[in-house]
Amino acid sequence: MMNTKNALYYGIFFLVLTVLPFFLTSNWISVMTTFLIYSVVSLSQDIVLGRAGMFDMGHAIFFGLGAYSTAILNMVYGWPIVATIPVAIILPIIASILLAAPIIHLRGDYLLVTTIGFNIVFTQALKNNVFGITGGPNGIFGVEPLKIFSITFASQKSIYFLALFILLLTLAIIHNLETSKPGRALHYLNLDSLASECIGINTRFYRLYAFALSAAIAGLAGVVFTLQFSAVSPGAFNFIQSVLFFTIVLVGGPSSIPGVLLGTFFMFVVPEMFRQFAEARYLVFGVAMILIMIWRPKGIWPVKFGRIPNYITKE
Amino acid sequence: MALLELDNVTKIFGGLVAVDSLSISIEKGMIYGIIGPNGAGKTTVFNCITGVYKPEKGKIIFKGKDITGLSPHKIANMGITRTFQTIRLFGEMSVAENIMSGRHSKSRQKWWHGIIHTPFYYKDEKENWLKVREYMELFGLTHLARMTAGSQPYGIQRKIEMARALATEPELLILDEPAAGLNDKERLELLETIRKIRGMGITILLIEHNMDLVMNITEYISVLNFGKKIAEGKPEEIQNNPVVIEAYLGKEDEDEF
Repeated sequence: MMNTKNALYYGIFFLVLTVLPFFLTSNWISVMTTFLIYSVVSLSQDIVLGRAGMFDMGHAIFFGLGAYSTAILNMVYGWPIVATIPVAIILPIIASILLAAPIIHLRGDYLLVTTIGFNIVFTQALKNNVFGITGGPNGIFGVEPLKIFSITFASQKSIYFLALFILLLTLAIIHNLETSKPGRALHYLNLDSLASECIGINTRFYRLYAFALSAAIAGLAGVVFTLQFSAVSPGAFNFIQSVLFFTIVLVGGPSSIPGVLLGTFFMFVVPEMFRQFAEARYLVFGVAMILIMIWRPKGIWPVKFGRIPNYITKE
Repeated sequence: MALLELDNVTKIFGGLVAVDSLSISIEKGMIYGIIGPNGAGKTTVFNCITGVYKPEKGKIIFKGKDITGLSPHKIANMGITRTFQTIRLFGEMSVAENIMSGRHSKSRQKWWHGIIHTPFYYKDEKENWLKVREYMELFGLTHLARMTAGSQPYGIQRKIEMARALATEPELLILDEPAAGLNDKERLELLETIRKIRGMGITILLIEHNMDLVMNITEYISVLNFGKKIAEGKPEEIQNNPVVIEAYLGKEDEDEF
């Protein structure tokens, strides 16, 4: 049901991202690769925070679980990277359901604090080298590149395109989500939980569904993140990172795909552009965040509802 | 067998008995009214039936099945849908999306259709949107399909909420003060709509303060006061029942002073 105008915009967006690495320095390809990965994580955070309206400030847990699954299975158990991918998706799903099930009924602010707690426990576990497999505070180095058949994703550009592919896949999933019964159910229960229950929506099931789906996508993003640096470390998945993903969604525009992409660009790429200003850039950045929230409380690019097929309004 | 039966239902909040051993029986196809002064416990009864509250005592039987204490979505899926006294729409979403929410339980899409669209998805999605179109036409909302529900005038919002409830294809439709805030013209329209809904074979249970409307449309009435049923019967019987008049207006001899 995507209209031609949107299809055109997305076409241009991907065309630009496809030719971009051929004009960038190695340093900037790296920044843009991380941008693509963070976009995927932010879009997954948006499923829980924007669409289902649950204050999850521990999303880095699922991103980190995916990243560490790949690194540990590869480095400690010698699995090829391809084989680690299903685990890096399924493990975050299981973790998200186990973590969310007992707290899902909590109101926004209580859920927020609980998820922060989980995130802190998670990074502490990684730092303390639980089961002797997480590599402690330094993490794990020297993860092998991804090999599919005879293709090896070792070069910087190949990983960039891998990340671009994952972003494309995520956008396809989210497009399918927002035009389906489960996706609409998330908006309904977010806007009025009681009214949703009274028309037959199992709000508990769909809240867990939102967590599981978003954890799966974040886990997959984690795999690419590990591949980009051939390494993982606890600092990349701490509570502050969760705050970043949370803020990206709110600043960009909850439930809005272009909003979340713009939010990621604004919150991650823009600070990189002003690197020469060192710490001063964060002052400007912080002020900009405040102003956006005051002037555009629904984000830079707010969501537009009314995704309905044309044939229902025609005679 | 009655479609819905309440058997000695009691709901207590703290020390307050909001509903006191209430028994009512609603036959299939009828328009049943519950009336009573403010605070008589009418909405609490609705909340007990729809699973929002769990009654302390008593049983609620729907189509021969005990539904007491089931969660609201299960009760809704069994065929009981309600509207709210204070309208509860998904305000930021479009009118059509609001009505589509009523199709949730009838749509047979599974969780994976939120990730992958199969041929079945397209078929199911189209079927349900066409149903939405039907309900929009029924309520004359088609031209507002893309508009934000929350920015519509009050009367229209009431219609949207009723269309949403109907879209679930309920067997029992519960209306909590459907005429509240409507002008005379809208009230007449509402009467017509309620009759139309009954014509579809849907049983209706309603709470209403507007006596004209209640007396005009219901076939059977229960009167509540302080959580207790003080009278029941046909509208004309209720109108002349001294106990009911007393509950509404106070004792006649008091008025003379």
